[in-house]
Amino acid sequence: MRKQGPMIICTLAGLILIFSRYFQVGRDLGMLTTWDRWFMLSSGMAIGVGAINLTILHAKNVMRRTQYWQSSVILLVCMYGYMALAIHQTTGAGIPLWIFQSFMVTANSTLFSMVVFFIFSAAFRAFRIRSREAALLGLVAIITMFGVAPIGDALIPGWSGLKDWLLDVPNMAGFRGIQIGAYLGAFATAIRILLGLERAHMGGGGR
Amino acid sequence: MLVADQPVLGIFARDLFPAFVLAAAVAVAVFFMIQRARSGASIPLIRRLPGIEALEEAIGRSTEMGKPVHYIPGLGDIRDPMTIASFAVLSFVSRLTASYDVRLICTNRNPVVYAIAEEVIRQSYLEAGRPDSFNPDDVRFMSDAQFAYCANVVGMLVRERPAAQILYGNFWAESMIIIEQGALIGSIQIGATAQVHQMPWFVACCDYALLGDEMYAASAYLSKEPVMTGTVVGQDIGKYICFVLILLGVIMSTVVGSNDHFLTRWLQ
Amino acid sequence: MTFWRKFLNMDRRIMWGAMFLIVAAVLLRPIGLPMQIGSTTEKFYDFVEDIPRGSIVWVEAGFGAGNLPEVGPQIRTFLIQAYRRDLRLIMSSTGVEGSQLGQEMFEDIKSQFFPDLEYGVDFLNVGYRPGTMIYARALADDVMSATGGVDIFGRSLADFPLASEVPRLHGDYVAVLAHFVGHDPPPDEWFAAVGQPGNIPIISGTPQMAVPQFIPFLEAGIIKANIPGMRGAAEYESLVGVLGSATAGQDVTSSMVLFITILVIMANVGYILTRKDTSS
Repeated sequence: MRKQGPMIICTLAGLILIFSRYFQVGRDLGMLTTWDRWFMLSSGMAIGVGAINLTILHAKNVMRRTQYWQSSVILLVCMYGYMALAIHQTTGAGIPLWIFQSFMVTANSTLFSMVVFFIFSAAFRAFRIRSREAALLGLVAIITMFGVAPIGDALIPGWSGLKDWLLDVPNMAGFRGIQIGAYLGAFATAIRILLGLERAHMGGGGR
Repeated sequence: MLVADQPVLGIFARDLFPAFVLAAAVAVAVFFMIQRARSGASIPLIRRLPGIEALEEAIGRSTEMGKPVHYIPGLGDIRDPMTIASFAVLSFVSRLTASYDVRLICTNRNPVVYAIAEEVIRQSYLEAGRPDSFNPDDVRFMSDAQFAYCANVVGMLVRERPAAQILYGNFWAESMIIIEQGALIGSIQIGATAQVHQMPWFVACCDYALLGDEMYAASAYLSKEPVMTGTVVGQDIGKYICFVLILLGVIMSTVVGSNDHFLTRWLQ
Repeated sequence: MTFWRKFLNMDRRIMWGAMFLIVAAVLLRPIGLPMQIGSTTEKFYDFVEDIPRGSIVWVEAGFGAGNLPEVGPQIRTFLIQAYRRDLRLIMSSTGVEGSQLGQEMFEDIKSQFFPDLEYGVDFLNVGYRPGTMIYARALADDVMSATGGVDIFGRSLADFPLASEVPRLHGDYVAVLAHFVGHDPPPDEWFAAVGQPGNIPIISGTPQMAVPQFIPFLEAGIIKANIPGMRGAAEYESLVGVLGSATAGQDVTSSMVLFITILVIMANVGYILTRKDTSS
């Protein structure tokens, strides 16, 4: 029963969603809206689960004085300090907003910018002509890069046209194929869940 | 002729009726193949997926080196089909790590996914007969923010230096940083995603990559059960349906001389 | 062969240091390479020009701080073009940072170019809400209920005239949905939740990395026009006639492309030479 219960709920939920989306009666009853609100509410509550795990994990680090336990102290102080501040001063004003803009936004920008550095070193490592496919991958990457930057057209007029063709024709054909396959794969997974064939997300071996 | 806003056949929502018909056609194909499998009729085998076969090799390598395995079930939430597909592989991986007695670190961005991942791993350790080896501290919720999560993972990679890293699910720009950091510490890396804009990086930088519908087929591939394989074959029949529709669309657009014809009007 | 072996095993920090120096040098001394305007950006510009004056445009600012160098100039230039055409904008965000960043951009544009703009009349920010497609569907049903009836500052939407003109996100009230995102949600989700049922045309702005993902939707007509990455943003700035950070970033992009290509070619030369050496 430990698994049958959630499985029945899962199947029922799937059927209700299909009914409320594809059938006019379901639409008229506005079931999807109610369902959506329940999901948003439960997702919000799940943040609490994450916060509890984070607290337990880092509190243990501090108590056991594991390596880098000082970082755990900083994390706990920041997490609960920010939470207290945000509860004290309503969101969208004051110190919480200043902290968000000065630290979160800046740190996120910095980390995203770091992607470029990693792409750079990854390209240096990965674009080796080990095979014909690898050579083609490297060549297309270089053509596209030059096409995106003004230097391509400055070196050879019309270079960006070649890039556009690569993106619009071979790239799009491939992407559409992959996307159709991925959507169908997701659909088959959904059917497996509805039929109770796929149960790994309920814990254990799944079948 | 379909009348706008009037239910089709009196019951179906008009705007999603074509989508419903197509979904129903694929669903019928899947059911048919499941029934075939149940009746014992022959079902085509799924082709070899090197990325899945390499899981055992990667975990074996970690065991030999005495280093942990790192698993990421993607950054998507629980509604994401890629995340759901990831749990089947997580279950397989955790059973292997339990039987090889090697540490499995699973890092999560989504709190709901974290809770499920913990349960999946706990159950696998239980089924493998090693409940004592399961360490709940190794299943970690890092942060809900994409790059805070990423920074946390990179820090963990540098400190714990896992010998194998498995990225299975939905990823965005952070995957590049995580994969490259994995390469820097010498991890064997297996990546799987259906997120199209991350696929090129997975192909170029991971040792093994599973792309698009391959990642969804993994649970059937691992189970080796004819019924599960039947669902994948049914999904392939869906591809044939799409192929026929595309071919029809191309022919009709060529004949009519524009995209304004019965097929596109019906599908819209 | 020692040089090539050393080169292939070069510490990545040397590479990153060289990158940093090149970026800094080009930012200090721009080259000013000419740039052709791409057809997709031109289509975006023309599409906005064709929106009837006074119409309401719904702007989804679903990007984060990380996308700011690429999507930031796109949305900033869009605000300028929109206000030149007397459009009125309502901004929502399915990304935590997007709502704040969008608000800052509006205030920046207001102080620099359009001091007469009034919050609540010409611009309204309903802030961040989680749930992406679920939130979009809720907006299509009832804006008041989906947003909880408050704007980004927690003030009641009932106090703003612009909010009363859009009871739900539908083509009857909104002329266009301008979709500026980092990567997700993809446009098909907004199309399914709002674009198709509400009959609202969608235009978008994306980082370069997400462009291949958007092209099929663009070609299928699900998106009417798209600004591709920083290059697209620079083209858009040029079309609107307000040169900004995207235009300045073009020289950096060019120099980086040249640098990485040289390195990749050298890495391949080294790879071939050392491979021959190893096999012999």
